[in-house]
Formats: sequence, structure tokens, C-alpha cells
Amino acid sequence: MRTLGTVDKGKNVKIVRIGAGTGLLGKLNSMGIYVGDRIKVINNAGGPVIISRDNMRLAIGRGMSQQIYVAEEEE
Amino acid sequence: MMKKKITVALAGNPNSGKTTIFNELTGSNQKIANYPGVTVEKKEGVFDFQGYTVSLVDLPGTYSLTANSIDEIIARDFLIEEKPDIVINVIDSSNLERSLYLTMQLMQLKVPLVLAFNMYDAALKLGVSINRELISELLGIVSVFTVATKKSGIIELMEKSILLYEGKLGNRNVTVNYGVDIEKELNLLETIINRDSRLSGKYPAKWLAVKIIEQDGQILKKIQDSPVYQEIKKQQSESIKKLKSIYADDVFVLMSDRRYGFISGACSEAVKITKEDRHTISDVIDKVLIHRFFGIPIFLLSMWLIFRLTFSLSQPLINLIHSGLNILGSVIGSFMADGSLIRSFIVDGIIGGVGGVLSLVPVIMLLFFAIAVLEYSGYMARIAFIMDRLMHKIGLHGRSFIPMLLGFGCNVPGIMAARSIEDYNDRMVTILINPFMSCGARLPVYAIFIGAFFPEKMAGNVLFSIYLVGIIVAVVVAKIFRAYVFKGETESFVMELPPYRIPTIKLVVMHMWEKVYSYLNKAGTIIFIGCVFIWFLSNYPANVNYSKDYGGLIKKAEETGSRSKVEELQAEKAKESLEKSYAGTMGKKISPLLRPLGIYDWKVSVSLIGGFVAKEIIIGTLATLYSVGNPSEIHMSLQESLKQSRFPDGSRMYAPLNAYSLMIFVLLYVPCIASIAVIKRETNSWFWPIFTAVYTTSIAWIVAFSVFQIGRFLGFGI
Repeated sequence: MRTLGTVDKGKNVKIVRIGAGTGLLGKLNSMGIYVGDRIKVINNAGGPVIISRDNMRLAIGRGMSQQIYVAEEEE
Repeated sequence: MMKKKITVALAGNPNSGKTTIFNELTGSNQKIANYPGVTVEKKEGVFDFQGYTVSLVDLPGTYSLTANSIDEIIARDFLIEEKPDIVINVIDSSNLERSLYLTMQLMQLKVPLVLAFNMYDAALKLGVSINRELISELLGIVSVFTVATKKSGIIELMEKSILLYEGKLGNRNVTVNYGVDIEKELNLLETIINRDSRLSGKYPAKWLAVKIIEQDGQILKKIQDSPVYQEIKKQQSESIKKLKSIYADDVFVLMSDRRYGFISGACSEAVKITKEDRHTISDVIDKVLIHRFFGIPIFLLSMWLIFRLTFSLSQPLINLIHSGLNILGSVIGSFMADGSLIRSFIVDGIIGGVGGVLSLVPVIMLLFFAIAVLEYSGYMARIAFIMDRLMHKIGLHGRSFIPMLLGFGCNVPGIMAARSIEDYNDRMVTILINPFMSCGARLPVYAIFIGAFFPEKMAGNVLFSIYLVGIIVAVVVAKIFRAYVFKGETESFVMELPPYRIPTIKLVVMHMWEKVYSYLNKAGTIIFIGCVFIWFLSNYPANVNYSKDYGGLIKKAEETGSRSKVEELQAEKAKESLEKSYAGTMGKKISPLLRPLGIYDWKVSVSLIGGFVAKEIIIGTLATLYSVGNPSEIHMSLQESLKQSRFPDGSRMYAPLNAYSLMIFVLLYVPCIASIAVIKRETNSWFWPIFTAVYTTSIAWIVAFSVFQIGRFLGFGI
């Protein structure tokens, strides 16, 4: 399984698992990100990863992006 | 008849337009205090509506009501402890699904809820149309469409709130179903909770049960006095064990799924999205502003522009205030006997000192205007993003940059803003380096000295270099702290990048006014006391042992009719009186320590003592000290006095290099008492504020020493 941190800019992915712990999960949930969501990577250039989901743009810190497991979606 | 008082709380996500609704409803009738025991701002406004006096409380903007941050805890505690009569949940209509997460938590708390689907115009433009009646029906909550920036829906929002309060409208209690296994455990906990009526009276039983399963430490601590606490703890571990045996670690994922199902179920029925791929204007802007190469230069350039503008626009205003104060001083002074202590107290102590403080208002106004624009336009969040990589290099993350940036306005809110950083190490380092961010109160010191000793075309660059020195010192110190004191992994973060918006003038001006007001508030109390204290130090002891018999000499000179001789003697007397005052004695005692830095003026040493009370006082004190030392009727501006400061042998006391070294010292030395107080509160110990006072002053001495000695060796600015 690959993590969000390794996804290239412009790719659509589906979140399959969010690393353990209520803290991270609850935080992502509260910001509108859930397991099963389809998101698009807008920017991934070393710093935080920017993703889009509907009208939201979220910057996810590098460390956190490595705990979010994703599967690539077909175009 | 007395109007009935009701309390209404505003809850909502950051960037949901909550503040705009608050401003629309309360107008200028607002007061800002702190929530008890913490430094989070509590904004409250009062207005009359339909025979009620409404007290509106603006809760901190949060995404949820868990214990993730102090803001969330405060919002939650307010709702539980204060039990507001109505809670208005402000929702960003274009982000309905996300916003409903908080709504759901509010529903579980069983607060009397009204939904304001705000910024509905923007949502429509993005192709999001909401069937409000249907979603109201599905959630069982009263709702209204609002566009706060256009004042639309605001009255209706209040009308429905009142109807709900009067019981003429009702909400249904809809709850999330977590599924058979989890619900069973929740039920067991609820049974225990309901046995303690005090507990069940305060908290909705199911909500509390969920918190217990989720092991919310903050809530568990609050209920530990309950007689059923031990039972709860026992049931908690049994329930968690049981659920883990069924679902392994996925219990929380499962609960999350259920909540999501609840929200997305409601949204899929009631929300229609007609356009795909939205947000595009913001994305285009972001292509440039957060570009991996251009992002940082653009940011630095905009900061530089802000400082340039602040400096050049504020100068004429400062001059205006100065001349106004001079006129006031001489008018009031003319009614009083020359040389009397009361005249000196009013003209020099009050008008000279506090008046000097007033003249900083233009700078603070302009700086906070700019910061408000950055904040409300959405650029502030981008700054955190683009700075993240850089901040990682010094062991912090992007979010630490915002407190640091706020520090440029005032270190107090900067230090307070560090609260949103969850990781202890990150937060501590961010707090401790914040005083190196040159706050607005230090700017006037630079303005006076740069204005006096540097040509106008260099002024902006000199100023910029001082800010830069502060940043460099902060970076080095942060690295050292991170490596030796606050070790550990850098915490990761999730941050929203809100769409770019043109901030409304009203919002920006209100924000600016809040800051100016809180500054003036501070000026009115701490600084006034500080200035009077300094005036006392420089006028007492009143009976000094003069080296000459001035009284006799002046009388003799008057007899011979030599007016200039009289003035000369009076000046000499005043100077000696000041030198022998407490202030003079203290300043002279410290002065040798500052000589290696090129700071020869003991008056400056005295002002630096005052600067501990508040940086604003430095200039106030200097003004007081110089006007006290110079009884001439013409109130020379401070800059002129400084320029004309000379050693007894007639050589100049200040060259540009001396002034520069002094400014560096002012930049870095002990933070003001307000910052120290906030550090005490934020770190919850006296060790860190005292440590900060000592280490910053040591660094200030070392850096100013190096600047002065190296500069002198190389022959710069002498």
C-alpha cells in the first residue's frame, strides 16, 4: 500500500486507511477527510501535500501524509 | 419593563464567516475579554432584538469539539458550563459536508441549535445548491440561509433563534446510530451515568458515553469527582476490550464511518452539485503564490512592502500628533508657574510620556491593517504552507510561522497564537523565540533613531535589516533549542487553505480597531504607570546636593541683567538635578555595561529600564528625559535632541553605527512585562519567563557588541 506522501501532483486517489489512533483520525474527519474518500493531489513538492476534496484545499504535513494510505484511481 | 436577557453563542469552523455575522449583529458594541484562566479571547457583544437583550458570544472557530486544541476545549466547556440559550452554528455553504461534522457534535451535545448556511451566494457560484428545507428536516434543526457580507438573512436568523427560544419552533433530536455492538456498550455506560443525576444533568448521557469510549482525557478528568466514576472506569475498560475483540483497532474507524454515513446521507439527498472542478480562481492564484521557487520571494517582498508602507505612511501622522502634543503642552504649561513640580509632572510626565505613546498608534494601526488583510484574504494560511519546508529545517513546522508573523505586530498575540500548535516541543520553541520577532512597539524606537541618523533613502533598508537580524537570531536559537532542550519529532499538521477572498473593509477595520484598542488599553494602564514612575525616578530625590549655589548665581545673573547667563545656569541646574536623580544614578550604573556596544548615552540606559515595563515606554522615557533636561521654551523634537547629544568635549554621542547597535539591542533584549506575563501563563511556570528575560538580554548584548565592534573595525557608519 502506498502513502499519500508518494502520490504525484494531479493524481486522483482513494483513501483506504488512516494510520492508527483516534487523534489523527478525528482530526482528519473534522476537516472533512474520511476513509473511502476520493481526493486529488494538487501539490506535492517536498513540503506539505496539498489535496482537494470538493471545495476544500487542505495542506497535510509530510509526516501525516505518510500515515494516510491510498489507492490510485483510474483516470 | 426590563428586557429579558438571553445568551446566544456563535459556533463554526474557521473561515465560515462567523466573525462577519458577529460584527453585523453587534456593530461596534463589543467587548473583548479572556476566557477565565486562559488567554483565548472571548468576544462578546450586546444588542436588543424583539424585546430581548441578546448577549452574543463568538466562540473560537473550530472544526470539532474534541480535546485537540485549547480552542476546542474552550468552545466545548462554554457550551456545557454556560448552557447558552441558543447556539447558532455558522456553516460555510460551499463546504457543507465538512461543516456538518461540527454540527453533528453540537447536536450530540443537545444544544438548542440554529443553522446558518452562510456564504450561500458563493456556494451557488460554485455550483452547490442546497435544499435547505430538506436538510433541516433530515437533521431536525431550524436553519436559515445567510450572506453575512451582504447583510442578508441576518434578521431572519435572529427571528428564528428567538422563535426556537420561545418554543414556537422546535428541533427534533436526531442522533447517530453507531451500530448494534457499539450502541450496546454505550447503553451500558449511559445507565451508569444516569445514576448520578448531577452528571446526567450536566452532560447528555450518550455524548458522555461516546467521549468515554473515545478516552477523552479532558472529559474523564472533569467527571472524576462523580460517585459513579470508578464504575465508569471499570465499564470503560471492559467496553473497549470487548469492542477491540470484535473490531480490533478499527473501533474508531467504525465510529468515524457511522458519523460520515450520517453526514453524507443527509448531504447526498439535500445538496446538488452541478459543476465539477471548482475553486479554480484560487488554484490559479496558488500556482503563483505557493510556487516552489517564487512562493518565498513573493512572500518576503510583500512583507517588505508592508513595512515600507507602514513606515512611510505613519511618519506624517506621527509628526502631526507630535506637533499637536507640543501645542497642548505649551498651552497647559502657560497656566502654571515655571519650574514647579506640578507643571513638570503634567507637561513632562503625562503629556510628554503618554503622549509619546499615543503617537505610535499610526504604526500599530497600519501594521495590523496589513496583518488583517493577510489573514482574511486567505494568504496567511499559504504563508504557513510555503514556510513549512523552511520551518522544518529549524525543527518547527509551518504553523509556527503564523505566531512568529503575529509577533511582528505584537509578541503578546504571537505567543498566544502558539496555542494552536498541539505538540509541546513545537509550542515551547515557538513561544520562546517569539520575542525576537520585532513587535510594533519597537518600531517607533527604530523610527526615531533611523529618522535621526540615517538618510531618508536608506531608511527602509535599515529597518528591514533590523527585522532580518531578529529572524536570523530566532532561527539560530530555535535550532539550538530543538537540538538540546526540546528534542523530539516535529509534529505534522493538517491545515485548510481557504479560497482567496477579498476581505471586507469592515472586517479588516474591526480587526485593526480591536488591536489598536487593546494596545491603547495597555497604554492607558501599564504605560501610564510606567511613565509616571519614570517621571518620579527622574525628579526625585527633590533636594539634591548641587555642586554650585545655583540659586545665588542665578539671582546674581538676573541682577546684572544677563538673560543668556540665567538660561545657561537654569539648564545646568536641571541637568545636574536629573543626573543626581534616581533615574540618573541607575542609568549611570548600567551605562558602563552598555559602553562596549557603543551606547554611551545614560539617558538611553534609563529608557531601557523603562522598556522592560513596555517597549512603548522607551521613546516616552527618552522624550521625558530630554525635555526634563532641557528647560528651553522650545520643545525640541526628540530626534533633534538626540542628534545634538554630545560628549563634554563636544564630540558627537551618536554615529549611525551607535544608533544601529542600540536598535539591535532594543530588538533583542528582555521582552516587555506583558510578554513575560503571557509566557508565564502559556508555559504555566515561572521558570520559562525568567529564563526568557535572561537569555534574550544575554543574546542582545552579544549581538549588539559584535555588530558595533565589527562595524567599528571595518569603519562602517562612524
